[in-house]
Amino acid sequence: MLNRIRSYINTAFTDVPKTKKSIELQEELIANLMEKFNDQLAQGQNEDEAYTAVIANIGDLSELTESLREHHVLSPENPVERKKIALRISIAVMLYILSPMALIFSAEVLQQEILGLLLMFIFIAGATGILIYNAASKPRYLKEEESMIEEFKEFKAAKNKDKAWLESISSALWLITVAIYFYLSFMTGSWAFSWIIFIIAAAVQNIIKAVITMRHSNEK
Amino acid sequence: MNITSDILRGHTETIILKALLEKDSYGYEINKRIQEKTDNQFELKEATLYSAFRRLEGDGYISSYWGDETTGARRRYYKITAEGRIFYLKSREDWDKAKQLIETLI
Repeated sequence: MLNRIRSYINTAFTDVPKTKKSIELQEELIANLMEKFNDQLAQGQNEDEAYTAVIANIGDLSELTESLREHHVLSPENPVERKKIALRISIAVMLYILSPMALIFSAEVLQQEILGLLLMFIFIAGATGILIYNAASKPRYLKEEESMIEEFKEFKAAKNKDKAWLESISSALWLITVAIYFYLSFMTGSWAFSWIIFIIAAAVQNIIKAVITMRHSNEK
Repeated sequence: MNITSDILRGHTETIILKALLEKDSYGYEINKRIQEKTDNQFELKEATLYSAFRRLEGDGYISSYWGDETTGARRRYYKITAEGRIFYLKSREDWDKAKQLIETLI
């Protein structure tokens, strides 16, 4: 019989957001209705009569469910902020693409390998800086109401932010690694050993990952 | 009967506050006591009762806490606040005035 009363209340709350408040209110209602139901049984009614009497006295729950819905409007994402973020990402990607071209141009046309390398690193540094700024300035997801869904969203937002950092850093790391590999190999001709740099890069990436994870768990 | 229940509905919050003046209580217990006091003539609808709880709590007239029942479902108990006591006394005064007025009019 608990199930019948429970499902009656659950149906009434179908369209209500599953916040802590609404779940607690359902629990409260069910507990009180069950106690009333048991009292009716004790007075000699059979289960069906008792159930009907309990349900009949509930009345119209719509005012109650409506009041739970009102406070649950999510603030929409700011479109201006979104455009700014998109612009920054585009510029960063453009700088990444242009960086090896700066090296090739300087080396082939101007015969200035060092200048070319310098330019390439400046481009990469600029692009990485933009991406990191983007990741760091991304608006945090603020908790609107204490509920399991909100807590999960907040948890996800924190995780995504870490991921964005990691992605920006590792993309820069690998580009720089490739650049150093080619530069050193062409300059010194040490092709036999220079590949080791990739293993070093992989190690560096894992260290960065570990640092970010540790920092995150320290915050908790 | 319809006029009676209309008038009563307008005083749901005062009725609840009055019940909580005696002791902390939960939804069904309050409603049961109302039934007993009125000799089974009146009972609040659950929808009305729990909407009133939410309003009263929102206004700061009552506060709530979960009971620590070891058997069965948890109960949410309500407690009247200092503001709630003041509001109750004011509602009482309003009712006394209205009662006198109606008495002279009908």
